[in-house]
Amino acid sequence: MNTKSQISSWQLFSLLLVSRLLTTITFMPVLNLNIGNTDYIVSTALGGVLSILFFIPAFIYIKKNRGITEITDSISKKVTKAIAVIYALFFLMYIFSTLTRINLFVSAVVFPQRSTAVFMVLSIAAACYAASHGLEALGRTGSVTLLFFILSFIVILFSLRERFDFNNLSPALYDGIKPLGVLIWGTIMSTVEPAALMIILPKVSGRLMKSFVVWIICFISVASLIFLFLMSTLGEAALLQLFPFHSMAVLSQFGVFERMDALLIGTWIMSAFVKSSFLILIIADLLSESIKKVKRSTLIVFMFLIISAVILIESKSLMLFKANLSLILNSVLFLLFVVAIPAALLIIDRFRNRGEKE
Amino acid sequence: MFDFIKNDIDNITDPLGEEEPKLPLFDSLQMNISYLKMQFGESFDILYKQIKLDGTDICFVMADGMCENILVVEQVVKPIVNEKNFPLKNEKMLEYISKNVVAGIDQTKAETLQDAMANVLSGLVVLFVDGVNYCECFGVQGFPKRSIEDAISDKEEKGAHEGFTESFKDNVALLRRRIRTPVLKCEIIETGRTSKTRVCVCYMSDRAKRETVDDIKSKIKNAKLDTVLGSGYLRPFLDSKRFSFFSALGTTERPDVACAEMAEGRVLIIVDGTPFALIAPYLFSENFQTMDDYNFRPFYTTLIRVLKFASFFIAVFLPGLYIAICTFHQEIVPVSMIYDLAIQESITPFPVMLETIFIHFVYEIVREAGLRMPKSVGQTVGIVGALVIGDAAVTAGLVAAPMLIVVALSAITSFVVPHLYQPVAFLRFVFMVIGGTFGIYGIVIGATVLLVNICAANPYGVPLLSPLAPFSPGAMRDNFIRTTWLRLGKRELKIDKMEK
Repeated sequence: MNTKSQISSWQLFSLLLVSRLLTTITFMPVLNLNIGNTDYIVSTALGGVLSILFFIPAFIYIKKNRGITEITDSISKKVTKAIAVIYALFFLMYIFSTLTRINLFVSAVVFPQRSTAVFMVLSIAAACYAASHGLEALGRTGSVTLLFFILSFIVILFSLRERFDFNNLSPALYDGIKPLGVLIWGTIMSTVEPAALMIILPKVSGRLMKSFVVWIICFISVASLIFLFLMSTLGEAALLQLFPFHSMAVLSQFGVFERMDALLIGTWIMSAFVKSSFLILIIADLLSESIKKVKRSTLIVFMFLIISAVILIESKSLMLFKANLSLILNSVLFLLFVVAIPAALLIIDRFRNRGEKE
Repeated sequence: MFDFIKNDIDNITDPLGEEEPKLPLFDSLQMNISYLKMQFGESFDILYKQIKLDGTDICFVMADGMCENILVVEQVVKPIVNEKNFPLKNEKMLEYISKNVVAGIDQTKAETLQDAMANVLSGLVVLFVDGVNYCECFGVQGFPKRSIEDAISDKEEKGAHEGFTESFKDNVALLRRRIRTPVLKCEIIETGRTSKTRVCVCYMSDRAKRETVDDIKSKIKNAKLDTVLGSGYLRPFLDSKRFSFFSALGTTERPDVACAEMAEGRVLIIVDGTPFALIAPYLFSENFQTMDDYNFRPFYTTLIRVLKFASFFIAVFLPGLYIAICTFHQEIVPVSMIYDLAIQESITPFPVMLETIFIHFVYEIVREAGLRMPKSVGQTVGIVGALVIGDAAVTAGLVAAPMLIVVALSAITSFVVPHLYQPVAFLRFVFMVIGGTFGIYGIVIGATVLLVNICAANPYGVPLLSPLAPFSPGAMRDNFIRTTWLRLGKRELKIDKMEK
C-alpha cells in the first residue's frame, strides 16, 4: 500500500469514532421487535466490551505495526492483490449498507414527498470529491466533524434534560436473555472499523495502541450515554420509531428554536459523508494496489458510478435492501474480514518466519 | 480527479518563446549608441549626451524622469567633465572615472547591450567610452513615487499609520526600520520577460525554512510571464496547485504586519510597483487577525475574534439558511416568527430563492459600481442603490422586508473579514442555490465539501487549517482567543511548528 501520506493516530481515531457513532445513531429498532428499551443500553455497553475479544487480531497488527497488505506482501505479491480486491469488495458492501440507511432516512424523513435520487447521487459525488483529496485532508476533516458531532449532541441532550425520566426505562432482561444476546451480537457485528484500521495502519503515525483503546472506550461510553438519553426520553415509544434518534431530536427545544432535528440531521449527513469518503478512499487505495496501471482518480470516478447505480437500484428493491441490513450477512462479513482473514494471515506469517529461521 | 479545475501552472506556455541571447558590447562607441537608438527607436525620454573628453569620445545615456537630475549633474557629469588629469585613455580612462572621479555613487558594470539597456530603463546613468567593450552605470535613480501614507485597505485604530508604497526599496526600508538584525534577508529576483520586474523576497534566515525560501524563489524565477505589473500576477504560481476556495497566500499593506509574519517564519514577497506584500505560507485563521488585536487588551481581542468568525459564517451561510428555512424547514423557528415571515413572503411575486439571488446580484452590482467610481460619486451610487433596492422594492412589494435584512446583514458581515471577501461573495451564491434546492441538508454537504477543500490545502507543507486541524494546542493561545503578551512572549510561535 502506498505509505507516502501519513495521518496521525488521533485523526484516524476521529474518523473511526465518527464512523462507529454514525452506525449507532442510524440504528433501526423496528428490525428487532419485542425487546425492552433498557436492553439496548445494556447491549451497547456489553457489546462494546465483548467486541474487544474479536479485536485481538487488530491489537496484534497494531503491536507489530504492520498492516494487512504489508503481511501479505511478505507472503506473495499475488496474495496482496487478491486480499486487496476482496477487502475492497467488503468495504464496498459496507458503503452500500451505510448509504442504504441514509437513503432510507432521507426518503422517509428529509424529503418524504420528493425523489431522493438526485440528492443521493450528488452526495456520493461530493464524497468521491472528498476522497480524491487524500487521507490527510480526510483525517483533518474527520477531526473537525467529530467536534461538530459532539457539540451538536451536547446541545441536543442539554435541550432534552427536562424530558429525561428514568421511569421511562423498562426492567432489564424483561424479555429474557435471548433478545439481549441478539442485540449484543448485533452491536459487535456492526463494529467493522478495526478492518479499516488494519488496512490503513501503514499510513498512520503516532501512538496507535493508545488511540485504539481510547476509541473503544469512547465509542462504548458515548454510544451508551446517547442510548440512555434516548430511552429515558422516549421510553418504549422509541422502539416504534423508524429512526428514534431523529424522533428524540424533534422533541428538543433550545431557546427560540422549536426543534433541533435539523441540527441532528445535519450532523448525521456530515458524518455519513465523511465515513463514505473514508471508505471510498480505502477502496481506491486497495484497488490501485491490484490494478497498478489505473490512477486512483479514475478508480474513484468508477466507484462513483458503481455506488450511485447500486444505491438507486437498491432503493427500488426491498430484497436487496433487506439483504444489505441482514444480521446474518453482516455477521459473516464481520467474522471473515475483522477476525478470520487477519488472524489467518498472522498465523501464515508466523509459520513462514519460523520456517525461514530454521 | 477534477483535473480541469486545477491550476495547471506548469503548462502555461511562454508567450515570447526562448529568450534571445545577450550581445556583448562593441568596442566602438558609435556602434553601441546606434544599437541602443535602434532598440529604443523614437522614444523621446531616452537621452544621449555625447562629448569629447581629453580627446576620447564618451556618451552618457539615461532615461528622462527616471533619474534625479541634480544628482546626475552634480555627482556624475560635472566631476567627469571638470576632471583634468586623465592618466590614460579608453579602458584606463573609464576605470579611472569609476574609481577616482565618481567614486561616491553606486556603480555597476555592464558587459552586454541588454544589461546596459536594462540599467538605462532602471534609472541609472550609463557611461560609454569609445574603444571600451563595457560600460559603467551610475545609480542616480529618482523616479516619481508616492510618499509613505496610511495603509488604505488595512486600516488600524492603534497600529502604525504607515503603509507600503509602490517603491519596493522604500518598502524594504520600512521593514529594516522595524527589524534591525542581519538575519533579515532581502533578495532581489527579476521576473517578467518584457517588464523585467524586480521582486524582493524577504525573510528571517534563522526562522524561515530554507526549503520554503528556495521553493518560492524558484517559483518566481520560473514564472513564465511576459509582464508582471502586480503581485496578483505571481499569485497563481505561488499558491496551492490544487484548486482551493481559500488562498494559501496572504497579502498585507502594512509593514508592521509583514514584520510580525516574518518573525513567525513566513516569507514576504514584495513586487516592485505594488503596495501589497504577499505572505507565504499563510493560515486560514490569519484572515481573522489584525495588528490591532495585539494593541488591544486580550479579553477585547478575544471578543472581536469571536465576532469575526461569527461574521464569516453569517456572511457565507445566512442567505442560504434563510432560503432553506423559508422553503423546507419552517418547523425550526418559533411559530410567531414563521407567521410573520410567511406574511411578508406571501406578498412578493417571486420564490424566496430567486428573490434572494436577485437582490444579492443587485447588491454586488451596486458595490462594484461604487468601488470604481470617484469617492463622491461612489457614495451617491451607494445611497441610490440602498434607497431604490431597499425602500422602493419593499414598498412596491417586490421584495420582503426580512429578506432585505438578511441581505444587509450578510453584506455588512462580509466586510468584517475583508481578506476573505472574494471567496465569501462567491460561496454565498453557491449556498443560496444549494439551500433553495436541498435545504439545510444540502448546505451541510456543501459545507463539508468546503471543509475538505480547506483541509486539503497544504501549501509549503503547512496545512491551511492549522492549528485547528491538525490540532496544535500551543498555537491556540493566539487563534480563536488571544492570551496576554506575558504568555505569548514566553515562547516563539513559528509556522514550522504547525507542520504535520
